[in-house]
Amino acid sequence: MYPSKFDYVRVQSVEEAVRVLGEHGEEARVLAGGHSLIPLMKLRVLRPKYLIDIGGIQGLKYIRRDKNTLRIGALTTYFELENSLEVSRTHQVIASGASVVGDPQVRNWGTIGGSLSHCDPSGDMGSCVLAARGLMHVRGPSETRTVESDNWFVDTFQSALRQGEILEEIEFQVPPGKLGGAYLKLERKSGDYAIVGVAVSLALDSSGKCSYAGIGLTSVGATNLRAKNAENAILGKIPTKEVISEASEEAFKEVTPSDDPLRGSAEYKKEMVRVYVRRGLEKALEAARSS
Amino acid sequence: MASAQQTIGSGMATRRKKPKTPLPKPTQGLVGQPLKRVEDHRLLTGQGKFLGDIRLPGLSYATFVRSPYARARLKHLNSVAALSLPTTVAVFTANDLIGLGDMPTVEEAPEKYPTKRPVLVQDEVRYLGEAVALVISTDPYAAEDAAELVDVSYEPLEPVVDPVKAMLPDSPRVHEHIPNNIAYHLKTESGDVERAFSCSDGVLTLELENQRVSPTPLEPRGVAASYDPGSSNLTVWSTTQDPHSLRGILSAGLGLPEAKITVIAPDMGGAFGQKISVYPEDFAIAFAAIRLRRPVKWLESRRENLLVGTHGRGQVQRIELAHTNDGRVLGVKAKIVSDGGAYSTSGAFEIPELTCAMVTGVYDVQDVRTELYSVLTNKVPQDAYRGAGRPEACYLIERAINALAKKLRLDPLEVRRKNFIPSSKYPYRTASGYTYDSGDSHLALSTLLERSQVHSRLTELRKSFPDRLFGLGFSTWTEITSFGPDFPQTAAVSVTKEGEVLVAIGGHPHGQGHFTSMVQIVSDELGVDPGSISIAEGDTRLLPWSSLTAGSRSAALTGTAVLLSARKIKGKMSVIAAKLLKDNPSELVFERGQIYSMAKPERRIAFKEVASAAYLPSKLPEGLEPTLYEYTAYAPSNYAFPSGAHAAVVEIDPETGAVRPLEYYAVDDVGRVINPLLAEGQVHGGVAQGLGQALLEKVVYDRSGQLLNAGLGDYCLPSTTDMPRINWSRIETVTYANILGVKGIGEAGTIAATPALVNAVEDALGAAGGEPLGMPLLPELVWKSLSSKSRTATASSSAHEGDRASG
Repeated sequence: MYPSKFDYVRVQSVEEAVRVLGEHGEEARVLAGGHSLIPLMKLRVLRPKYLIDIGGIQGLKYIRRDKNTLRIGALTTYFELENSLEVSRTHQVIASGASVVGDPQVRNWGTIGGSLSHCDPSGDMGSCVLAARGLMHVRGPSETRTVESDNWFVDTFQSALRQGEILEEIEFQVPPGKLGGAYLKLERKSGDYAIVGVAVSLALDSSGKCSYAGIGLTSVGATNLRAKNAENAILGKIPTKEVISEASEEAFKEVTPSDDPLRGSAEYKKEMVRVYVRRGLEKALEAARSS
Repeated sequence: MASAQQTIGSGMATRRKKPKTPLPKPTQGLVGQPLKRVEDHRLLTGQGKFLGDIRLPGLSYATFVRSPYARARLKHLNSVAALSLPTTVAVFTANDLIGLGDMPTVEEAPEKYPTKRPVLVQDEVRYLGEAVALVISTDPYAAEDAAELVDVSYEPLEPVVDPVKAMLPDSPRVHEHIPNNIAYHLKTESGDVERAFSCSDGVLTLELENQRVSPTPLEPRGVAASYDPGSSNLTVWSTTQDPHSLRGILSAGLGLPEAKITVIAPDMGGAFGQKISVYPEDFAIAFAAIRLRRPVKWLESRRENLLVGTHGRGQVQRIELAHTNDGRVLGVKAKIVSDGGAYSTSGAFEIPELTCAMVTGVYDVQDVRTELYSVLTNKVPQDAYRGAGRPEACYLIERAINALAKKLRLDPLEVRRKNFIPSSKYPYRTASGYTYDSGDSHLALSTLLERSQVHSRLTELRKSFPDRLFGLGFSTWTEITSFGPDFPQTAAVSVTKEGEVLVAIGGHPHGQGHFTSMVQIVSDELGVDPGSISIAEGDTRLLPWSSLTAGSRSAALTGTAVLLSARKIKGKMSVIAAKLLKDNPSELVFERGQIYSMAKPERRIAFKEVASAAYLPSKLPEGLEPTLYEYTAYAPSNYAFPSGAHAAVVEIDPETGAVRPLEYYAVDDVGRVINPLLAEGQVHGGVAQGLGQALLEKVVYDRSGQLLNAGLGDYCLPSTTDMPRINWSRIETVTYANILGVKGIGEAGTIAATPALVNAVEDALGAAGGEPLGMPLLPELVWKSLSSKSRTATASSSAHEGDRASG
């Protein structure tokens, strides 16, 4: 449980981080909260030669509202997201998801940017960001670019980040209407990785019809993923019990999880997607209606 | 509790001179008071000294190269590259351990096979993580770097994973000389079993698995050793529950006299039985320190702890109850297949023996047959885990009683009451030959029902939430503790010239709070301030011999040894005080640091003054040996048999199968209680571990013998938020098995909670539930039982498939 040898650099700005990252190429890794990276290093599954600690970059830790846009700095911790009124006012799914990541120690250290860059399919935050259609602002050595959440989750432990890039900010638009969101997680015990996790973000227009639907799923595929058919099943409709049931059925049909010998078989996970999408929709709807 | 401490403690400083007013009548002692743990300030402020805190000049660090296969032939091992690092001190392989003995095994007997277990693998790897080489470097990071450079090639062999399949003739053998991998077979029979079965109205048969789990102490294991070539003295620091045994076994293995070996067990963050047995690492590190002439330390990682620290439980059980139609059990047949792991260790054989011996629990049945097969598999050896054999027994009989009630459509409590040993039958000799000296299951159960009102609680829940699934489960338990009449524990008490009391205790407490309870005993006996009492333990130099801390034996044995030593001190000090007071020694009272006679309380002498006199031969009565030191080795007249009744209320999410424990009630008879705060803490921790086995925990091996959950991210331990509120109270029947009248509390919760919770889940499933449930009750397993699909679905998650059952 001792990592292999590495050099450690603590940088003061994103520009410096990108520069150092460029100098060391594939041998470098970016350290944010460290709660995924360090255990993997201790098991020597990952052996970076350089660890670039961005924890000291003050400018990456913020929650900012800019009219209809919510901007979250990559180094914002789960604890900060969970407790931010600004976040829960328009993006309840993010706050709700952050509140069930790991345990208090993890939530005090772990960051939204770290989680998204790590790209663990059983990470909770990825599903929330998918449900809220986050835009990832990324800085590379020569340019900045923006990646939509739909294009972010490339594969297991592989985000859309290219060599030498750092995730700086996650941007969320506020959809019009009455808003509600929820993240529900079926777990063996509190703080465990999800058997199944469901992130739901909804908006209702003045006629009560669903004008925005985002559903993200955890631990049922190679990456966090969106239940698009389920979203479509509810979009533009008044979310009655029947509509919700149809949407859950769609979600059930569109996932193909694999067996997890510890947390649940593919069959069980699939069934739980149906249950949890329904519950998530109900909870988000209740929040939207009372907002 | 603070007031109790002040009452007792306030005398020392202020009453040096004789007070003018008479002392008040003797106050209530500390025994029985909820004194706060005297250990905690030091531990909670980071001032504990654990194995990781041991620093020695020139210390080098060890790591082990471990097999990635459960069974393999070791083909080739090359350490040249590892040795080429400047930080590498040494690399040892099996061939380098010249003169070092093998690990202990069992004595050969009919149907009992010893095995040869080398410290480092010589030719065949027999369990995942078995050590093939020891690497020693100047720092722990470099040690792991070097270990990676040790070039090992293996020829993987088909492993033996399932203990039942291991018994089939076509199974590979873990050891060539053991047919069908049955390393130990034991049959016991008492009464007339066949008659009981032929007279019965029916037979209930139940097959269960009591899954292998890891004890997972908070602190993993570790060893450090230092050798002084001049004196040829070896000092070994080890996370052990049994320092003197380790000394003896090391002596045999190293060929060094016991007198030359000191074993020190530093502060320890839990053990739960995993730190009883001697491990290859103990041998290897001691050997390396002697060979290298420099101190060596090894600390186990969490991953290693889950891989190669001994596991507990691991039984496939079958029970048959011959019964009448009204639920009376006439006879019992039990068959236990124990997953012993890769080597014949005494722990792996003795623990399931206890299961067989305790299988009738609190029930009055005399016609009993048990059959034990200890089967070797390619897994780390099985050993004790909190309860060690008794949780398995309690689980089997308490599930079977419920299954019988279900079969006969009777209330499980009615079946229990019908079969309880009546209180009039105590002392009760069990079919297995033990004598339960006292107990009252009827009283425990009725007290539990009355205090908890658990039936009306359940009715209320079901009425308030008609759409939800609630269940109530019971277990009425007993166990065997206070090992034993043939197995003493030791303690010594001395008093300094200044009147300070030093207590040395045998074994090695590792979180139980023994310092506190021993202080309470000594304080009461000698009438001194608790603050003037120091406890020392965990060092083989303190006492000539001692035995282990385990099996809920320390209050009964260590406590009594301490009490008797203090009594001897008191006797001697009484003689001295009587001379000084010109009084009769038998009438003297020791209280608040003073010694006086009840008849003339105004004439008194300070405890300290008598202590000082003990060091001056001229002041002593003739013939009395100077100084104050008394030693006791104590073995009780009988084992003790605590018992009780536990109840759990659970809720099941009908759509997901997730189980939520809501409430937990327990009424236990643990005899006299020295410290109710510590006792209740033992129940809380015990219930948590019992809950862990019922709902969450299992070491999951795949077919190739790989452990799929060798980390705490995957191995699922309960945390505080997963726990229900525990409501604990007591009844007391008197035991004379030991002088203190204690029965032992350390394992009660672990034993009783597992069946209570599983019975509660079965109750919640009610008619919806199908086959009897297995463990752990993770959501999918419960969901499958709930779902109509479960009958046809193939077991896609073999790791959690349920138990087989019929009847």
